[in-house]
Amino acid sequence: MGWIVLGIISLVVIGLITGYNTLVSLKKRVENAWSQIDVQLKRRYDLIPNLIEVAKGYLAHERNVLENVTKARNQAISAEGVKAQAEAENFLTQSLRSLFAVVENYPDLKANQNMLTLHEELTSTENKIAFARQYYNDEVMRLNTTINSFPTNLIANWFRFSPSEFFEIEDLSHREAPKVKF
Amino acid sequence: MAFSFTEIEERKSRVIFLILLLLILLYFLAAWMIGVVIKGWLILEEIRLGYALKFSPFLTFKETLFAFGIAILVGIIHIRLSLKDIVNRLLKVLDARPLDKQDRYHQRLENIVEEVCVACGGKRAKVRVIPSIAMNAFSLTDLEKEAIIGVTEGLVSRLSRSQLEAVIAHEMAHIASGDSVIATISSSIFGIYCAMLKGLVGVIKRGRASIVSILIYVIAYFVKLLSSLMIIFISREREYRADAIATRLTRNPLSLAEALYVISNHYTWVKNSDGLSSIFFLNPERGKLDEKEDFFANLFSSHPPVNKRLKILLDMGRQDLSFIISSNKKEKPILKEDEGLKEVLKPKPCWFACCGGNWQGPFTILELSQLKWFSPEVWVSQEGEGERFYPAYKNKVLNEIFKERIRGKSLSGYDCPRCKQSLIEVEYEGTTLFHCKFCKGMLVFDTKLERVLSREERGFSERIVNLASLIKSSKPKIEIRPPIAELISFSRPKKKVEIKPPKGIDEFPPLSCPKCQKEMKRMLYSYAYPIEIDKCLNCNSIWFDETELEILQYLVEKGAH
Repeated sequence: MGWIVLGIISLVVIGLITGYNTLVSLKKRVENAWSQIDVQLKRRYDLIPNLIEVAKGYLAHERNVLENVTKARNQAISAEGVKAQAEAENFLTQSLRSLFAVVENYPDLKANQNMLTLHEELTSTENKIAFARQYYNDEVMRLNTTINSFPTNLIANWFRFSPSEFFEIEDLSHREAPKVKF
Repeated sequence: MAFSFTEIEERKSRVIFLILLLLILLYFLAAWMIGVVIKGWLILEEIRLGYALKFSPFLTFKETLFAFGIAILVGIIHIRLSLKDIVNRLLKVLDARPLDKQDRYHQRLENIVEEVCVACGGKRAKVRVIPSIAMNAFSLTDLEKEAIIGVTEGLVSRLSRSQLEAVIAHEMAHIASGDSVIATISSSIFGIYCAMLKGLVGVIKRGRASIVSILIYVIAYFVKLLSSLMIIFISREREYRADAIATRLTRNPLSLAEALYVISNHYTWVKNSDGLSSIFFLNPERGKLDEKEDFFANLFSSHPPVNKRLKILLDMGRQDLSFIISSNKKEKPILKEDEGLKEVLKPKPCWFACCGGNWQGPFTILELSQLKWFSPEVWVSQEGEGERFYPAYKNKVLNEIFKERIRGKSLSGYDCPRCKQSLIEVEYEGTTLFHCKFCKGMLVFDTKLERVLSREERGFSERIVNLASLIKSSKPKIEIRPPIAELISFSRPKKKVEIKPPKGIDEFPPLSCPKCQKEMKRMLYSYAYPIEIDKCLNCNSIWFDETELEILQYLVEKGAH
């Protein structure tokens, strides 16, 4: 009789420990995924001033486009928290997109070797940011699912694990395509 | 993502243990067979010499134990040797080179691999490129968790960005799910048998066979047959799963479907890949076996049929085959005006020089240096400086040209083998080649030819098209050596029998290689493309005269479509 009780108690304890460890490791993976995004974002911030330098000489008449990009970049650097950062990043992506739309009209600038390399680097960085966000969201999904499912939700409540936020577009106005003004 | 590192580690140990057991079993069987044969021979000897039959040909218990002991020993030695430094050995066998940072397509490949690594949560993978026009990709992992993704030059050059990303994601899926560990280890272990068999085939066909070598051949063949059964462990299911994981990574099943379609219509064979087919994207030795679906096909072929893979991906993307075929039919203008070549050196300010009262120019520094009449007292003027002009020796940069003339060193480091002038580095199809402005010849180093031939950026003028059709239709005057019959009897070109392309007909004396100064051999590029080239056999550099490179490119492109 006593052995059975002991067996049940040890099973429960093992279950608790496993559940807790799973939650901890998932949380760590989410943090790791976030830092991945950070790395790629920093890279984009570093590339943008070079881009502006190269484009400045050729785009003398398009100063407002360049200024938009610089403004968006500064805003994004100083953003805090997941949501604010997500919004600022989306804004920056859109201003870069309108910059490249303008570059299409200047064949000299388009063919410039530096510009080509920078364009490729920026495209690659944008892709990496997109993939890093995708990975982050996948990990957040796993964490949140585990926190909310039974029986781990009991452990999560007890040890106060909170679900993480998804990196997504909140404000619907950011979903509109950038308008190119002539 | 699929497995954590610890899970992959545990899996690896289990896999290796299983393989060790299998190997020991095989060696035991082999030793047993050898024992039976030896005993049978002894019995025959005894009968011949008149003794009575003392024992049966089958092994006694003690002898069986002895055979088992030998099997364990040999099995352990085999595994130790095979597992040492697997990845580097396999890379060497496949002739896989690191990326060339100066090459535009390689840079793009590096970026794409980094992107896929980010999508996998930051798992690093190194990239290697096989210099071959064929299209294929592979992935390797070794016991120290080093992951390598490899592609061929043909693949890098011919696929679009999203298609390339899909293929790399597929290879990454193999790595991340632990498949490539099994594939790498088993390829390495059983690869030894394939190499051994190839050597033995050569020995036997040359008539130097003896009983011993035939025996070893039979046993090795038996082992190889069983190793094909190992492919059950590396079954077709893994390819489907890798396709699914790749789609999950890129969220784009249609790109992978397009890539599959393009690659399957193309040449996939890679040199020395016998026995290594499980690490590749598509089977390098694709034949009818792969496309069948019955029981034996499922056992013995390592890759599932392309049609089925395509169907699964297309269903995910809710399209059908006509979508791919139409998106694949690019309208590529193969006839374009010759656009001229761009110099790689940063465009220096333009110079004007006065020759006998006439101002000529604008020239770049290199062009100035090659002008015959350019000397220190020639009047020059720079573009931005308006009316100011001065003798050339007053400018520091131009003085360098004169100094180098005295020293005899050329500006780009290489000289044209025909005209002895300096070669200029130009950008060509995403990589850099060396070009002579006078005779318009082109110097192509080692692996760059395969890249140039697979890439299709340049258009060709009508003159090239006409010249190409002339070459194709003419029968070159060649001496055929060695006899074709002997070549055709082996299905693959072997290392020892080199197909020597026949001699060309140009009468200029043999050129000397600009890189290593050895004599270059004048020959036709191949039987299929009888274009005359000069090749340096020491450093693998090829010299093309005026239109030869473009004609070769045009013929290869036409042949590929």
